[in-house]
Amino acid sequence: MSVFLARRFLSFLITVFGASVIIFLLLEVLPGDPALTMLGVDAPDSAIAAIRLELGLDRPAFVRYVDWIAGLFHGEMGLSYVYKVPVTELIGQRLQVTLPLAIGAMVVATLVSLSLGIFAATNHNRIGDYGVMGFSQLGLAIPDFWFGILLIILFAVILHWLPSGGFPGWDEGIWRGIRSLILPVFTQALGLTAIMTRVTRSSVLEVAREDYVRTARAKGLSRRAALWGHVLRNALVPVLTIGGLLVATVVTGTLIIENVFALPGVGKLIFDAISNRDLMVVKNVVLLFAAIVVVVNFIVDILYALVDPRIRIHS
Amino acid sequence: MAQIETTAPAPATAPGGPSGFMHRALRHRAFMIGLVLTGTMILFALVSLVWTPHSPTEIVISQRLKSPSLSHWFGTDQFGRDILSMIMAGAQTSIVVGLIAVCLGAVAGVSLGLWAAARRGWTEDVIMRLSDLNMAFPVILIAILLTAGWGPGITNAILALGIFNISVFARQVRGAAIAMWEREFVLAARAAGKGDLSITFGHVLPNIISVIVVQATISFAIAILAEAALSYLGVGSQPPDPSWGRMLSESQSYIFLAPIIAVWPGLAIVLSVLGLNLIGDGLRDLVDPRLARQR
Repeated sequence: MSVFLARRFLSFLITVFGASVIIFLLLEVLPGDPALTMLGVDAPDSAIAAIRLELGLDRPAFVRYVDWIAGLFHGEMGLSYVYKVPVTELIGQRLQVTLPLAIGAMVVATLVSLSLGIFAATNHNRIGDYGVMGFSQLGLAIPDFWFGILLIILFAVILHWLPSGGFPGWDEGIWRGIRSLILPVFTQALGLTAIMTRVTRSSVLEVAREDYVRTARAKGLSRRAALWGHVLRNALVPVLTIGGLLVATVVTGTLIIENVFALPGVGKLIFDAISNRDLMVVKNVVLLFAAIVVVVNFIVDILYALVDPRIRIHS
Repeated sequence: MAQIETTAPAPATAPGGPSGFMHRALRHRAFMIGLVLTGTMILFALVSLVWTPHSPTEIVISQRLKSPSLSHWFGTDQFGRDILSMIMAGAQTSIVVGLIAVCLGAVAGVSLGLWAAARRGWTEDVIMRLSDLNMAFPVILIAILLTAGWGPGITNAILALGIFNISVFARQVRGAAIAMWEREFVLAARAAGKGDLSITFGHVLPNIISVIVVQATISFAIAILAEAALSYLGVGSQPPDPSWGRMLSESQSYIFLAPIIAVWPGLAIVLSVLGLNLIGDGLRDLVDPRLARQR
């Protein structure tokens, strides 16, 4: 196990390092002068010279890269060119919206998909199963941003039950904050629910066909007891794996959902940064998201190897 | 001495031969619904090359936000443009972006996957680590990087999707190809002195083509969704090129006045993606009927 862990950890470190190099190259080296990227080609020479000096862009690219990475090890991401505040501070503020959104979506998706998946499997090839599979097929085809717009039309424009967008901040009261996140959370949860429902259903069906379940039933165990005692415990392993991998999808999905509902989260921050050509923010937020994806994959690999010894032996 | 069969079996794309495949395909309800939906999308795109009810880009302010009528079946948008014509022309964008992105990803990804499976060892390790690195960047992050560096545009959206697809195809093909390399007819071909390249193209690739076709269909559906999302966010297709995602983005400002204009482009995306997903699922069932029984 320790050899497997060491190999996976090394691979994880190489991937994060590679990701940082790619981000730096794509933003600061390949497009040419970052000062021109930020100010535009029509900017006066004096302004370009000033920003070069201010952001240290007159130094060689390699030195700037090393400085960036060294700063990250000290928890520093530099100053936002537009907001003139540390990028870590900006991200910290915005995570107050992004994190509850991502966690809420995962919780809703997990609860709904487990219930629907188990229901569909226990009603295999009956109308309930077809209904759930139809929902799942539709959920995969509906773009989440369109689903968000439809929810806004129904719950904000027609029924006036919930706000159409924006976030008042947690200082304005927990309930007001939660109210503004209800539609975004359900929007974000749709696609995840569709995928996890399918996985839950097929996993429960597969385990239910195993010999040990048949033996348990033959020994007189009721359907319900076999389901809860034997099937679910084993069927949930692949569901949790997929759920883990979907965390990365949720985190990057918030980039879209926050724009649909005008939520001041990290997703809104990065698209504003693109419009304002604030490369310092773009660079660090992209690395943060890429690192989250890699960390989640790493954790899922480890958990999966703990559960299934064949994985670590083959590796 | 027992004679070793050195001829590869018929590619595993169609149990029962082409006519058996066609017969089962025609009886597969979901697959046929998928074909009809996708066929309609392609027809819309093709017809829009030569004819649309109105110009999809012509601004007629006097006709703005009109409800559906005989002259404008789906109504008009905030600039008085005919929504049906825009949706027909938007189908072109979705298909072109999807096709190029899938082709880019498939050509590079299939080559890398085949190479990794044929060489194994450090070549495979390097390719898989590069694939891990690629997977660290979901489509939206690649698009953000390209847009921040080079500005928004359809080319960047295609590149982002194409780059993302490389690792998807590489992983899928590597897995399928490794399984083929362990089959007896491949071992026999190797014993007969055939080289890696000859075995890869003569025996392995023809036998995993169904895996590639199914993946291409699913990737095409994902590409349509992703293109719409990127255009919605302003980092994909740019005006005046018609795009379903941008139509949705523009319609959002008017949902209190005319909510219906946000419905049509979304429906177009859903039906297209649903069609491709149904084809993908159907192909998987048709190619491997055991999967259909398990589902």
